[in-house]
Amino acid sequence: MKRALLALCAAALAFCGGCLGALPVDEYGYIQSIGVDKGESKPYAYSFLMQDEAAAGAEGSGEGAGSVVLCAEGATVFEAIAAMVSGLPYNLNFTRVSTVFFSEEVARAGGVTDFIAISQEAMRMRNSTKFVVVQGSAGEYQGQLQAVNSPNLTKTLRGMMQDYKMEGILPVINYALFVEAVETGRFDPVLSLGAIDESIEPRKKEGAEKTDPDDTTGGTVRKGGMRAYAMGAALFDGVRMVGVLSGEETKYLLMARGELGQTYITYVAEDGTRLSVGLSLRKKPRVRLWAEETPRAEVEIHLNCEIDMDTSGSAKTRWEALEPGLRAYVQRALGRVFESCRSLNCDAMGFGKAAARTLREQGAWERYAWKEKYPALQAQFTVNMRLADRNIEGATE
Amino acid sequence: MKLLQGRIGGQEAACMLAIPVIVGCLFTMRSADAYAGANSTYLWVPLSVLLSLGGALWALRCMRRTQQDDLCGLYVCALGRWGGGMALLLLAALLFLQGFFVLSAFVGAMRSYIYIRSAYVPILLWIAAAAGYVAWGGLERVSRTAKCLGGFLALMLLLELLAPLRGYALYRLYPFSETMLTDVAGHALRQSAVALSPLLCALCFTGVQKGSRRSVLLAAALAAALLTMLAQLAISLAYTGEQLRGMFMPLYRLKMILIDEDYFLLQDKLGIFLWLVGAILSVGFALYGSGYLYCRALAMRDVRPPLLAGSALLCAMTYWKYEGLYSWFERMQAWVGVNGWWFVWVPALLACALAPLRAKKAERAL
Repeated sequence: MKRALLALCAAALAFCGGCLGALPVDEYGYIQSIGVDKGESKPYAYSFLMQDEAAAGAEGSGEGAGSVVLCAEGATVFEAIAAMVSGLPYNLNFTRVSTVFFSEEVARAGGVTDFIAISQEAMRMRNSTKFVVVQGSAGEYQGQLQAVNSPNLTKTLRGMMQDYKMEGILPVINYALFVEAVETGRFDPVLSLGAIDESIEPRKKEGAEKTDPDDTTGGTVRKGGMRAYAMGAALFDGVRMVGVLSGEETKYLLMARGELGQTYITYVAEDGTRLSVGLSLRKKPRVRLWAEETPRAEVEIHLNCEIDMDTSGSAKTRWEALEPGLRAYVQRALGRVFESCRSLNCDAMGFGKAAARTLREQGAWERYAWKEKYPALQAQFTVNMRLADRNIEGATE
Repeated sequence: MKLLQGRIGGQEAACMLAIPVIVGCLFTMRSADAYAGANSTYLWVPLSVLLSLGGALWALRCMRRTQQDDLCGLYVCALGRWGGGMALLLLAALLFLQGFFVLSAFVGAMRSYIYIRSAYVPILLWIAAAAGYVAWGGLERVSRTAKCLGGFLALMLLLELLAPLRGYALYRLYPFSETMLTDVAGHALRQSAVALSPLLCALCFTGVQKGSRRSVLLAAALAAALLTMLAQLAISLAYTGEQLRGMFMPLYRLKMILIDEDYFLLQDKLGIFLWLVGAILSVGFALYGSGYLYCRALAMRDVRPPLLAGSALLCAMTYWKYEGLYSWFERMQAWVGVNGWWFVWVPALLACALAPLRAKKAERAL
């Protein structure tokens, strides 16, 4: 009895803290996401998407019921915050920031590091805060996110995670991994890439179906949905953004990094048949790297395949004929994506991790200077495929 | 005699010792020093606990050989009344400082991570009051509370370590430091003060069941070594040495490496409250233990005045750390981290070396 009472008291301690220096909930303005753009009069323009139930339905709050976007320019985020709080009846709280959006212009100029160098600790943001690069204005992107009656970013982020895990068209990186990449040099950051689809207008114009030629959907025309979308990857060389990968290329990047949950590719077989193939990693890729003057690497990738088009029963009989072509197709695609990254000096596939394991000692790693050797890296991809489609198995048994 | 000892059994004593050792090894290390070379804390932290265990077992053996009831007797036998008293005071001071380091770390963490705009004083008083309540109950209250909560805290720590399993990566352990062996040995020796002082303090308590002392030391130290190794390994698999160097209380940020935090989102805040329970027990033990040692050193018969003074001093030090003297106390903690082991190892080794000789001499004289 005494023990139970003691355990109960100990557990109750967790609920006692709320009374200390109590602050009413409405004294805080909870920021959900931050946008960082190039400023006009100051180096940066910051926009803050803030949860604000009072803004729901208020005049000028736009369509984004329950949230408002606040903007201010400043040399640092603190300068912008200081400018903003002077006109707000509450204090801004950044502990719930889930995402930071950087405009492509800022990312290419290396502005991400300006932001992280001072902000994360001082603003009490979580290490798990996601970083996203936006083609265009980060502030406008946030505005578009809140314009679909989503008072917080939870649903949007859940959608991004779905794209990352189930489609493989989007990488996801958080603050902790970004800092690790920049500080240790064992891999380069790869950020989610967002954009605004200009063809989808808030008030839709007649016949407006064109897409931005620079978009990352690979020319696939979208109709409806949110104007703000995320697809593809922003590649970094250290702290600077240097290029982009389309959603299709991102699938192969995630495959090589061992992060692919599941994805679908379209494959045209030698006999001209068009197949939709579901791919997932059977196990983590095995990377062997030789840290020589010209480094070499071999990557072994084991995939499970599902052929969605042939679930009627013929796929298993065709599999042996299909597999070599499909395997070669995936290997070529992996090679192409690697070449794209290497040409930008972006170790997006994380070969540096294998190099650090090979070199073992701190001094050897520093003397080897991985990033200087990386442009000469010769990588070879070997793909093993296994048909793993229960529908097919069932149909052919 | 109001030394508030009572009688405690082996399980109570083992839990009472394991908790301060684990809390000390996980939450009071200064990241800038601990991760200065490379990620090797998962080696030297458990090694330091095992080293302390070796020291404590040797002291116990000497106590038996010289037929002393407790460590205080061994110190007096080996170093004389004055020297033994000084050795006990040094041990008490180190134990007290460890309590201070734990308390100030948790006050800082609660202020930084939970009650962001609160003042330090209410947080301090809230934690110190609970720790004081535990300490003022004496050895029985400290040890029985530890026994009640020890298993639960260990289980929760293991679950906390398992939660971010998907985010752990082996490559973060590489590259190793070129001077790894000497680094590990040096760090283990310096860190051993954290584990050795509670273990030696336990040998001073006469309330611990005498026959079970060896098994108490073994159980407490081995459990602490295992849990601290697992926790430090998890930290090293989650963050690189470069990141850890500037990170305060890395265990709190363990789950934040996950890309998709999912239902672990914000559970770190719950975790810190669980660890706080362990911290309160550790501070309670440090307060009572240092007060008791002070009494034994100065032949006082009532532990309550030193307990009262210790509680007030602990609160005052923590208050001043956060209200103006932060860098001074940080420097002091760094100095104790580097040099503290001398103050606990040297008297213990001297006592273990001299006591048998003195005992033999006394026998011959008889």
